[in-house]
Amino acid sequence: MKNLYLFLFACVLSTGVFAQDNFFGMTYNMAVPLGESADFIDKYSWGAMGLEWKKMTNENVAVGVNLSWQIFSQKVDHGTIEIPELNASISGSQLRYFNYFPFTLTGSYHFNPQGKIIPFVGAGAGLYRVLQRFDISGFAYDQNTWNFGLYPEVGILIPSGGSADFFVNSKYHYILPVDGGITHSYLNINVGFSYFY
Amino acid sequence: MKLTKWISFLFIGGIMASCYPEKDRTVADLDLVGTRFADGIDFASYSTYTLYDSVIIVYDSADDKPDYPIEEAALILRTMRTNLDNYGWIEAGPNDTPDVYIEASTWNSKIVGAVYYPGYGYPGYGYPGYGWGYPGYGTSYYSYTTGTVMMHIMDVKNYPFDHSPPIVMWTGGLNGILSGSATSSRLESSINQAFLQSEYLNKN
Repeated sequence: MKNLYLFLFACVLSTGVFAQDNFFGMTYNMAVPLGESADFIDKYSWGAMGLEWKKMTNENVAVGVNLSWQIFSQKVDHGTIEIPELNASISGSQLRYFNYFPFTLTGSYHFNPQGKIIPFVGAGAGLYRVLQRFDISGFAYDQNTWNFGLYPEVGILIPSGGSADFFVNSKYHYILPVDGGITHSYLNINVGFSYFY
Repeated sequence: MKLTKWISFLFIGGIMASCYPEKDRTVADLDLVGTRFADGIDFASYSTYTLYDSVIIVYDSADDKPDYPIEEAALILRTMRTNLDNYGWIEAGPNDTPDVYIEASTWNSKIVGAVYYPGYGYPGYGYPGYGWGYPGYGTSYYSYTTGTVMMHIMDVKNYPFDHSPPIVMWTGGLNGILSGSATSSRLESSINQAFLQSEYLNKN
């Protein structure tokens, strides 16, 4: 019977330990377009969101997945585009959009995991769904691609003492071109909540 | 974790829908101006023009020929003439042969259509049996009229006078929705834009 109690106690204890092995974060994402992305849209993005799940492999190191969504949009009044191969110019009100959806595998290193502030660095790499739309006076042209991309990341976790912690990070996304398209890049600033379970 | 699943579901829904927020688009924002020039034309070698004194009206059918506002036709010709003069072109006299011949044509098209709203499709998470999406819940009909103006500059200087079609050196096309009292000012603005983006016509 004593062994049974010890076994049950060990199970409860290990459940408790494993329960802290998983990290889940939800963020509100903002971003600044950079490089060729900024040539198309140079306006700050106020949306949208990100989801992050990590498995802590030890006290400091985690691997996981990240899904996020970033929207850039801009209106250009009376913009003119040149089409040299057709000797043509077209003017009209332009609506420009980027929708980025990174689906990445991630790795991160958490410093001072028992501290009141937990800084971390990380990186992610994977597929990015890139939806680009150029709309001039109601005539829309879409270029939707799957690209490979990656990002370095820095952030901090601020344990609240409750079930959810405060979570801030920044990512520099670099997305390789496909089909003769542009190289996309943007800098994320994300705020949200996370918890271990 | 229930909240997490719902947020995940909303996120995936967002990915599927993507997002193209309209930016307070007005009717004037749908005005389109396109211009094009022919290959191998040296515009500097042409200097005089004759502008056809009427706007050619193109109708949808021979049975239905609505009146075209004469003030609008006059506005088209007046604005074209102003732009040509500002660019240093010289209007040929009545008995002179011009280097180029210029004309404008216009037509209106009524667009009728319907938009079907299929409802908010979602995977029915937590609601077994609902599957993907609800049945449609509405259809909206719309109708609007668009106006198009085409401007052509044709080569007379090198025309062989053998009844062959003349070379169209330059085309300017304007398209927009006819709506409200601002149509005239939008028309004038679009014609000005056509010349503005055709700097090669400028002789100054």
